[in-house]
Amino acid sequence: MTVDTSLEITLCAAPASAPAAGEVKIHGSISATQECELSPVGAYVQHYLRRLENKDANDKSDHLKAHADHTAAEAAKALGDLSMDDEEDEEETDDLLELDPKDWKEQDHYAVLGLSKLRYRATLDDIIKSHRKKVLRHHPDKKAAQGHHNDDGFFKCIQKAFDILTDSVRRRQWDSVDPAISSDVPSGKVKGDFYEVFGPVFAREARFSNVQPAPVLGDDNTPREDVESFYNFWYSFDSWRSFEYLDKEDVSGGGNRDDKRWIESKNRKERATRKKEDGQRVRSLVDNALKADPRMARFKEEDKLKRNAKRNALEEDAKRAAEEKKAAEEAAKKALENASLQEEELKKARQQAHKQLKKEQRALKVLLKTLNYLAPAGATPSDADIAAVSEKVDKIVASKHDADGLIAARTEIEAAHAAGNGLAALDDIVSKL
Amino acid sequence: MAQKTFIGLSFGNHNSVIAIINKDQRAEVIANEEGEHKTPTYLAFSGDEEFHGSQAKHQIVRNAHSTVAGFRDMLGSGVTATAAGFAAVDAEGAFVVRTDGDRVIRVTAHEAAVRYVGRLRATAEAYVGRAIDGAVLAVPAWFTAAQRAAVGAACADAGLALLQVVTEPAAAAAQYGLASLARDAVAVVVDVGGSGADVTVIAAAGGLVAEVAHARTTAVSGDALDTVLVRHFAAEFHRAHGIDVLADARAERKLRQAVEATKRTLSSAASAPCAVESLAGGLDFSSSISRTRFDVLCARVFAPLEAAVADALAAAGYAPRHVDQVLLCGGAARVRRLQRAVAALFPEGTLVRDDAAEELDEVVAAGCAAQAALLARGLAAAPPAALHAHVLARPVGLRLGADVMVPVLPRHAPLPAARSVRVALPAAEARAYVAVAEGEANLDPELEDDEDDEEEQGEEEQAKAQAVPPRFRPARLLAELVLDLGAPAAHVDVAFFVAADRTLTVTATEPVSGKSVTAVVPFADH
Repeated sequence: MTVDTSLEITLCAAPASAPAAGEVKIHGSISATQECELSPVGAYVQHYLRRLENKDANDKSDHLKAHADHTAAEAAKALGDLSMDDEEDEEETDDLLELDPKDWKEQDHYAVLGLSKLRYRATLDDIIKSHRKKVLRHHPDKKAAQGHHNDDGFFKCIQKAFDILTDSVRRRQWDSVDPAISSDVPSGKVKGDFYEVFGPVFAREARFSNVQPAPVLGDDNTPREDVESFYNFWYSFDSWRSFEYLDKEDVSGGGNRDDKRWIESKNRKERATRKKEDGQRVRSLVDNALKADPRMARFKEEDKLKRNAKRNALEEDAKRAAEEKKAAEEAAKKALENASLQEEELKKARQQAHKQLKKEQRALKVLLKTLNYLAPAGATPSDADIAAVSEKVDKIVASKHDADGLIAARTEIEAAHAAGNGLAALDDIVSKL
Repeated sequence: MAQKTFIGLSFGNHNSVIAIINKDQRAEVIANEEGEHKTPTYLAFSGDEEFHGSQAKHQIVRNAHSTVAGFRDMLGSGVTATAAGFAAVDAEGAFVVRTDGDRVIRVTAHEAAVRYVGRLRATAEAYVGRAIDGAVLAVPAWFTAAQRAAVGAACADAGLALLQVVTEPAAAAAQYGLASLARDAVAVVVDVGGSGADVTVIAAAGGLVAEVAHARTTAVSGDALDTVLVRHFAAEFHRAHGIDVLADARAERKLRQAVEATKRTLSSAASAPCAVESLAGGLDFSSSISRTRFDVLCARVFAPLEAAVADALAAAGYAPRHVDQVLLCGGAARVRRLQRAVAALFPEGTLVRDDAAEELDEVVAAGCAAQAALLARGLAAAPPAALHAHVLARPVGLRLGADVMVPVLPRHAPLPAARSVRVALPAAEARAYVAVAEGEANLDPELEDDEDDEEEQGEEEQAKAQAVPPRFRPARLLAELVLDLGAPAAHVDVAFFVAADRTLTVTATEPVSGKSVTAVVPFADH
């Protein structure tokens, strides 16, 4: 029986009235209990309520035990995932078990810990759990108990792998040069479905991106902006891949400062070269993908059509505009011509009218002369008579601006003269002015 | 499931505090926009603006009639009295706020609480950066069910989901660790706030906290201490300039605000200044007071607190010697003189604690935040109804002599309860004799050392007088067990269990040989 506390007290000796050894004497029960309200604070309240519901008469524990059991169960659950479930483990090949800890740089750390399927996808939790499993199996003390003494080679490999994979910096360095993951770049002349060939390659390379999640290749129906942003992203790919793991010499290996500096600068140069090569490799991958991408070809076609269409449209527009201009010009010309024609005609008419007028005026004057200035037959008009008649005729000519009036006047005078009263008719016309 | 954000809220009549448990599992108090950890429970209206907290409190000096205070205690209680000089209260219990000289707004206590709690929630959300999913609220232990419901309604209207309503002493006890360690203890929580002092006797048994008794006095509070200083400085001003500050309401309010700062400084420095510009009659006031003088002035204030402690203990059926810890909380408990006065009520070994949070004002809020964190992590669940438990009325333990009893199952232990102890056996005894008895608390007052008598008494009698009186005396013998050991042994383990049906089972086991004997004491009502 476990005890809650140890008290610093000593029981007294049995008095004379005590019962016999091994016996019990009951004197009375406890007093009546009180009712009290408990405050609902703290983590023990729910265990108390649960304990109240448990009507088992043989349960001689209270809520403290329920609480302790609960916390123990939770802890066990957390540890329970580490249970030895042999079916899920990866097989340990002989090669693996014979790895030399001195060659730890060449070993596959994930395989040593049993994570060769998950690799870079293994979480810290996975690594810790698998490490524990391996340790329990390969601990040198356990092996020694079974008769294999000094057999700690693989254990050292496990420890080294654990050290590297739990240090986030060193894990990144190892993941950068993980030999189990290929770094092949498929060529631009793709054999087979473009998406099937290049999709997994981009997914594989995407793990190096500093910006997560990286865009996926997509399929035939991916909208154009996504495809373009995909290529933008991959052309400006920001990768955390670094090549410190492949350093040939380690700086910390003693030697003076100059040696160390020399080694470090050599290392740096190599890393830079490798990083540049890696960048070129990624660049060539993207170039190849771009070349082979059927969607990009499609977009190019669309672009061309659009451009042509635009150009055609432009041309047509220009043509139409030119035609319209021409038509407009011609119409304008015609209108001008009509206008000038009309003007000419008008001019002509005016000129004619003017001519006629002048003709009539002359005719009238000639008539006068012919008619001997309206003197009675046989008489010779005197100068005063000529002057008076001429004056009257001038008055008529001045007042009549159209030929018809003059014609009318002339005929009147002729007729009147024939009748013998030419002068009277003339005076009549003058008075009518 | 997304991480829930729960906060702890201590909504006091004078000051309110919000706290949250941060990533390091420590309680962190959320500072408001002015950078203060506690926000005064005041609302003020000025023009179209509404102020809360310190800004509202500063409005008291100039716009007392548009400042609303003390509304928490009015929730659900129908109490209409309010602090003199602030916004008046009309017949229906609503504040009549006069702003801009003429405009009158009616604000009920509920509305005021809703606006104020809404502001607190906004502060918390601004600090945390996301919406608050729920809060644990602390209310005074003397709040009735109607008052608790009214506060709950105000929080709901303010958009703050309430996970649980706990009492302030329970939150303080939780923060002081009584609910997280499975130890048994009797503690007295002394909460001296802005408007009154609450004394609660708490019995913790196995991490379950029960409030056994409490007493309250409004005569001892932060306000009362302010009044002491106000009178002192007013007298000084009167002596110097002949003007009675206390007669001028506005001057008195100015002085009171300045004196609050002085009082706080006196808790950390040996003397503190007090300066008020243009206190009365255009005259400035500048003075200082030393802590000793303040202690002398305050000594008269604490008598009601001592009476309240005595009342609470008497109601609980305990004497000061039964108290294991005294837990201080509340802003005014920072005053050293008060802490000394409280400590003097208990025997020397009693632990007087003020270490649960950075400031004593923050203890209750931190306790609420801790409870909220337990709810968020699923380690606790808000019980659906009140927790009524049957508890032991008297401790049960081992009787070691006619007058000596060692309790194993404490008083107020909720049933079922189980404890086991290992005790030593007297030498060269082939039998182990275990006497199980019920005890009664020894309520005799502590004998005071009488100096005159010491010279007359002999050495033996002096030693007897100075001996520590026992906490419990055996009252009723319940059972006697005799375990046959065969050979003398050093220890025996005794396990006690009281079931829900009040049957007592005692098992005495000798750990090495495994021999045991069990007594079952059935319950008989008498």
